[in-house]
Amino acid sequence: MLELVIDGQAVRAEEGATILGVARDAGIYIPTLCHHDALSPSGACRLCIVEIYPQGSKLPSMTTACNFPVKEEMEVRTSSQKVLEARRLRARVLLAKGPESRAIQEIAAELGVETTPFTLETDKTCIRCSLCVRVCREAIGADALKLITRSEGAEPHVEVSPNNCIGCGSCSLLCPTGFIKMEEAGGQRIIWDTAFEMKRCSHCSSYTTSEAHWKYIEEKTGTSSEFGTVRDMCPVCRRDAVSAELLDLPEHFTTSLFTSDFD
Amino acid sequence: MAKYNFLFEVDRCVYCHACEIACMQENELPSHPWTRVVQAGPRYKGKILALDFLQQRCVHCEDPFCVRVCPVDGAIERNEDGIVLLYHNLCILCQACVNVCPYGALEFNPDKNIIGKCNFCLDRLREGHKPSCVHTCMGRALEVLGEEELELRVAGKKAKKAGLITYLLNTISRECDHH
Ligand code: SF4
Ligand code: FES
Repeated sequence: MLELVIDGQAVRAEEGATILGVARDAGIYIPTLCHHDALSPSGACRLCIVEIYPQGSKLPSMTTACNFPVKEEMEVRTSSQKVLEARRLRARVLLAKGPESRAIQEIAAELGVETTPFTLETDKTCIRCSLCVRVCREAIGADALKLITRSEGAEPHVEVSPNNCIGCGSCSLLCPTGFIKMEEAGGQRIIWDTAFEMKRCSHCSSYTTSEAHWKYIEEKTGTSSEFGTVRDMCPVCRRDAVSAELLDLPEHFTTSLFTSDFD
Repeated sequence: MAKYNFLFEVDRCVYCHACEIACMQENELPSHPWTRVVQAGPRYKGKILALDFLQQRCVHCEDPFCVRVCPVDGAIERNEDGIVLLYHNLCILCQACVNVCPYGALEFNPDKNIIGKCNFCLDRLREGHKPSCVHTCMGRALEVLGEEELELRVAGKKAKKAGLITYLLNTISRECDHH
């Protein structure tokens, strides 16, 4: 256990905890964009910037709260004028890169930033937050994405190894800017320019997820026999199959027996 | 012994959808409630014309597939009362749970960018309140009961159990001749 001060409030923290984690536990809000509680921190978006005074020092420095470990007797300021200015500048930059991003818009609005002096990128762009890379590597375990710098001085970009990708779509849904497009048509899911065959509901013929993702799911959960007859159904048909069983409906019930007029 | 037992009485449901609205209000969902009611029928069971309403939702399994499949430690867990909880801050939206659940009880909510699932309004339960859907139910079809109360309610009646939910099945039906 160590002690430090955040915004004038004395707090106790575990060794190795980050400023962000400790501040949150103390009820102090710090904005984040590239941080995800299930993934390692990256320090890429720099929205979580704070001012720190190391033990006994009057000389402050700026750091990202999401990946900076707390130190004994450190003093942290999360909303000083300097901090807010730095965050607003980051928000303006991000707003230019992802003007359509709801996540960026929300954070910018919180900071009172409505416009940006920088040139707007009209297309959905990558802000190199690396959420996609981290989720694929650390959580899914497919490790299909990498941030690569092609040549010196060039901006890094995300590259996909199609052989590793299972088409789960996690990266696309986590991406704050909408840069990672996922489309579904004709029984295929297309993501990162790669087409994946999709699993089809045995009952209503709608498509659910990619076959490769389904395989991953079955491998993780063990024997497929446990699924019984609902294995090849979509979630909606599974719900109805369960209802049919509860009501002792004939085995070959039809989904049309069930109606839900509210969605 | 389960602390919370949920009862759904098929005969009492009037298909008003109040539970869905209550769920959306409680959980601040603009769409995709975590519970739904469906209508089965009208249909003939032999000579009997039947029309049933049934609520669909997470039943809170004993050994949940969603917990087994989730790639993030602790993002979905079954708590000490048997309630299966999904923590949105840890969820990575991979939808493995959505695709694995044999009850089809999880759903991606595009309006909120979250995976949705019933948590039996745990916060309300902890404060001694009924879950929002139970509280609102027009037909009093839903209840949260202790073990003994539940036994009394289902004694001698046709009931089926799935996870923490007991379904009290229909007893009202009428013979119908014009078939
Ligand atoms: S593609 Fe999206 S998620 Fe990946 S680094 Fe770029 S902005 Fe972040
Ligand atoms: S949240 Fe800390 S740098 Fe993005």
